[in-house]
Amino acid sequence: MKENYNIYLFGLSLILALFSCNTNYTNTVYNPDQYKAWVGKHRLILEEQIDDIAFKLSYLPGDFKFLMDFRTDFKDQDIATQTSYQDKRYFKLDISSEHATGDMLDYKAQSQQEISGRLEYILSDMKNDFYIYNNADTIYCQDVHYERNYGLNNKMSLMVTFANNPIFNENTVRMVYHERFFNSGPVTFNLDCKALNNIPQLKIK
Amino acid sequence: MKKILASVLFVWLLVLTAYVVYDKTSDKVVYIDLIKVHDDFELTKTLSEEYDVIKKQQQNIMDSLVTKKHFEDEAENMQYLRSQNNQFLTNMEKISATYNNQIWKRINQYVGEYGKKNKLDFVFGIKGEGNVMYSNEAYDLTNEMVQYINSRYEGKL
Repeated sequence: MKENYNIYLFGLSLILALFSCNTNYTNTVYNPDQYKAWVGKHRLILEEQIDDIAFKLSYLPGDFKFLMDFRTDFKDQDIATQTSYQDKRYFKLDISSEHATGDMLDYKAQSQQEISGRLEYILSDMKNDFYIYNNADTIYCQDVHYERNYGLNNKMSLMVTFANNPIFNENTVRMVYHERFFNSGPVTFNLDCKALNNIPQLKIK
Repeated sequence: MKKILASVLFVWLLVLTAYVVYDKTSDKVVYIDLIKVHDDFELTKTLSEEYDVIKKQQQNIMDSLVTKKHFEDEAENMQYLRSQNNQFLTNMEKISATYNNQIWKRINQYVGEYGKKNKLDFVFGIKGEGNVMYSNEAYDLTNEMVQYINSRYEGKL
């Protein structure tokens, strides 16, 4: 009897383990606090190191970005805004170096002119250096947002926005960022679209 | 029965000792054809395409400059075009050097990672320049390395 019990227990744990690996969250509905906690725990993070430069890419679901921008006190009209956020794919890219002592914008720059050139590039051309592709299509990013931290830490954080596109229904796609400040060249991230799409729903009201 | 067990144990110990001694004394040495690794690396292809696009854009600018008359004096005009052309060539050389640097930096990093992962002692790079005059093909790891660095570059590993 005890042996049978152990076999059942083992079988049950195996089934639980298998299910926990493939949990489908798309039908789960969370309130803002639960949603933020979920993203904090489950969001897709990819890292790459080229020489001394570390790249950390995090996927931020549209609803999470909406919560970051609006915080609390949701009104009826916010639901429309929430939908506009859901039409986009947001990625946060942190670029850092253990050798940088201040602002990453200044790191390895030879002159003030070069720093100004970097800022100008971020504002105008940087978005052309982010793209996502699969075997058939390539999409370019819509916007890159950079918030200066004036040397508070040795990290450069970029918010990269792509339009929601059928390309994200593939199994995997690749995001490329052609880095031009620190001589790293193109950096590729392999994105698992199942993970990108397996996101719970957010209910704000 | 005890005798059989003892002999099995003895043989097993002998094999184990031989393996440990072999593992400690034999260097794990391989070589790769650097030209093939460089040319088959996806990053090389990407940056070559980008280089060609920039070159074509710059060439178009040069062509449009040639069709215009910038100075009344023909000699002055020629001098201006020559200086523009030199600037164009210098720019292209700079871009080429930057891209080459990025490619080799990445190859070195990925080869080092592969070596560590596979516990290799030495990875020699053959360039056909006479540094290694002969090598047994059994030590050639070029194809595996190309596969590894491309997978690594594409974020698959």
